[in-house]
Amino acid sequence: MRILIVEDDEVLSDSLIRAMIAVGYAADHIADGERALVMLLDGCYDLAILDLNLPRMDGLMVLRQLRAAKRSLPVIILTARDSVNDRVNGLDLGADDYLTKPFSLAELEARVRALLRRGQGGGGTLLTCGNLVFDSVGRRVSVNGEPVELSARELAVLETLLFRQGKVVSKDHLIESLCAWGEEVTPNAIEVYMHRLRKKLEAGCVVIRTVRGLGYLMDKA
Amino acid sequence: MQDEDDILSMRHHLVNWLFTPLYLLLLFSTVTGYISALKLSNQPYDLVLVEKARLAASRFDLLAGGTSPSEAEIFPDGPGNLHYALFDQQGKLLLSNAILPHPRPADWAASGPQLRNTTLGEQKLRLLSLRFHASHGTIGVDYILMLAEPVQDRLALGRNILASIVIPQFIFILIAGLAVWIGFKRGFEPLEKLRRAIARRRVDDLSPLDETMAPAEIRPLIQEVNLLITRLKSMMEQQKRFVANAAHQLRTPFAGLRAQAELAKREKDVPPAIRTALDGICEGAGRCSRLVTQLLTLVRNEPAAREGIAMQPLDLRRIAREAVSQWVPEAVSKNIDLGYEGSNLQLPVFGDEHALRDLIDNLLDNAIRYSHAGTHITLITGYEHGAWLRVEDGGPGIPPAERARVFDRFYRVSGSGQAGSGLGLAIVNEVAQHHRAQVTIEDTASGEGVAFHVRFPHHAA
Repeated sequence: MRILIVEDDEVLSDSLIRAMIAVGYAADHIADGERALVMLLDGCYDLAILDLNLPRMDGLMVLRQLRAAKRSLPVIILTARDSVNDRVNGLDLGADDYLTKPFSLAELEARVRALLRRGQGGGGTLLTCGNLVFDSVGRRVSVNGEPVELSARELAVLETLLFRQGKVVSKDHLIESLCAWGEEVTPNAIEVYMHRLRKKLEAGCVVIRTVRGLGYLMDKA
Repeated sequence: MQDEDDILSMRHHLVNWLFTPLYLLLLFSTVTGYISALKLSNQPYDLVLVEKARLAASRFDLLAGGTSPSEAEIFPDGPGNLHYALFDQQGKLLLSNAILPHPRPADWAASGPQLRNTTLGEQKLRLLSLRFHASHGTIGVDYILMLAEPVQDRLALGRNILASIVIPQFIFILIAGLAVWIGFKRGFEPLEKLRRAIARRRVDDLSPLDETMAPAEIRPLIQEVNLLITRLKSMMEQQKRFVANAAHQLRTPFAGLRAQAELAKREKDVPPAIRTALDGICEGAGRCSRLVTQLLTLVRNEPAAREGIAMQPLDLRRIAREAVSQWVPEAVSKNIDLGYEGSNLQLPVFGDEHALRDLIDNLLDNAIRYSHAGTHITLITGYEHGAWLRVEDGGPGIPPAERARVFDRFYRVSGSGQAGSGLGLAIVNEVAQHHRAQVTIEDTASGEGVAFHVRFPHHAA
């Protein structure tokens, strides 16, 4: 796995290179936007970590040109601007993820890992949380390697929660995800599914938290 | 309304400058008119007086041997209001009905009638002396007839003439003044329009003024104002760019610092003392970067940086729910139960979404920072003469004495034991002011913690 780090701050880029090498990736570094684009277009990289504020060519411009050239390698944007617009712009232009400076290395490593796995095509079917594994193609769930019996609706609810684990999923969103089944789903019904899921997944070191007034949040216990 | 006063005073100025000369002109024309009116009114009366004198003289002439003429012979209809005196060549008074002055030598020398003004007692008189030749008998003898007429009638005529001159003039000046006043009002109308257009402008509207609205005389002024606006705009843009760049320039080194410290911590066999130090560096970098974020958020929400950001109708409920959702993981990590309460209806507010998020984020950040583990934080929304939101926390509360001061920049509640920046509530305050919202600190229903209540003005969705 070869990663290009495009960042003009020496202290930060040095730590990024060392962190990437430490977890087993090959990492190159470039501080200049124009040359970064040339290197990325050469096509031997599996992922780019791209700062936005770069000499010679802005990070967003690098990203735009890269996508215009139909290069689909995953790109993580590092942004120091906290404006929502910058983030939305980055994602609209085809960034796969973004991190706001300063970030923890563990967070960056996790995002890199996730994107590289997705790039290999292996990450799309298996969703995990704690000791729970969800096979979204085979529609099977196992806790500690033991299969768990779940109804189709419970599976749908679980899938929605797993996709956004660590984040709040609103009740409305859950109801919408069940609407495909063509029946009215009431907020009370959602509560029932949650109750059942909590019971069945008790052993999996996962927790489904109720967020008052908003919905649910699934996380490792 | 400073500018309105100026327009008024300018108008007064112009009108004063026009009316003072006009008034003086009226005074001058009244005086000259009076003099010429007197002259004019004398003429016909003088002619009549001369005619009367000639008639009386010819009657005297017709009297043969008129050595002792009588009044009835000379004035068959009586003298009326006339005073008369008849003198012969020797200056002897032959006949009179009043004590009139004796003829002067000039009267004897003159060939025609002589007229002058005189007084008889209190009475002002017009005096005529007529030298005439009476030819009774063979020897012709010269006589002088003095006729005096009171001037009242002439003065009355003079006044009438004066009035007929001055009254129309006065009316003319009034009309002229009115026309000038209306003219100015009309003339100033474009200026007044311009003033209203500027007054109607939104605070953040920095587009140039429309030159075509102004009369040619005002255009250079407007051009200058537009140049000023352009300079102001570029200054504000510079300021905004500075804010954005400062964020980047300051945060990147903090990111580097933190990453380096984290890497160092991963080394094998790090002595505990160094590990503690590295933890401190990580935490310090995080706090510095938070402080930078807060400072920049504050600057971004200050009036100067806000210029040009459009306010728009928004749903406060959606923004509040999104904010709470994003803060839940942070609350969970501190074992705090963060929740949302509120109606399912939209809560219309007129505002800037980014700024409103800053407001809610800072209220929630503060609540999570100062609340104890195991407590509840609830964001409640509602509508009462305008949307409102309320954040109730489970923290130590804020003593009433300190509540007024917590919105000050860098003010921190004593003994809170938290590494806050002291800027969160200053940001809340800035955003609230910008949205004409009111922030109050209240006790919670449960008596624990504190509630921040933000009331927005009514906005029709």
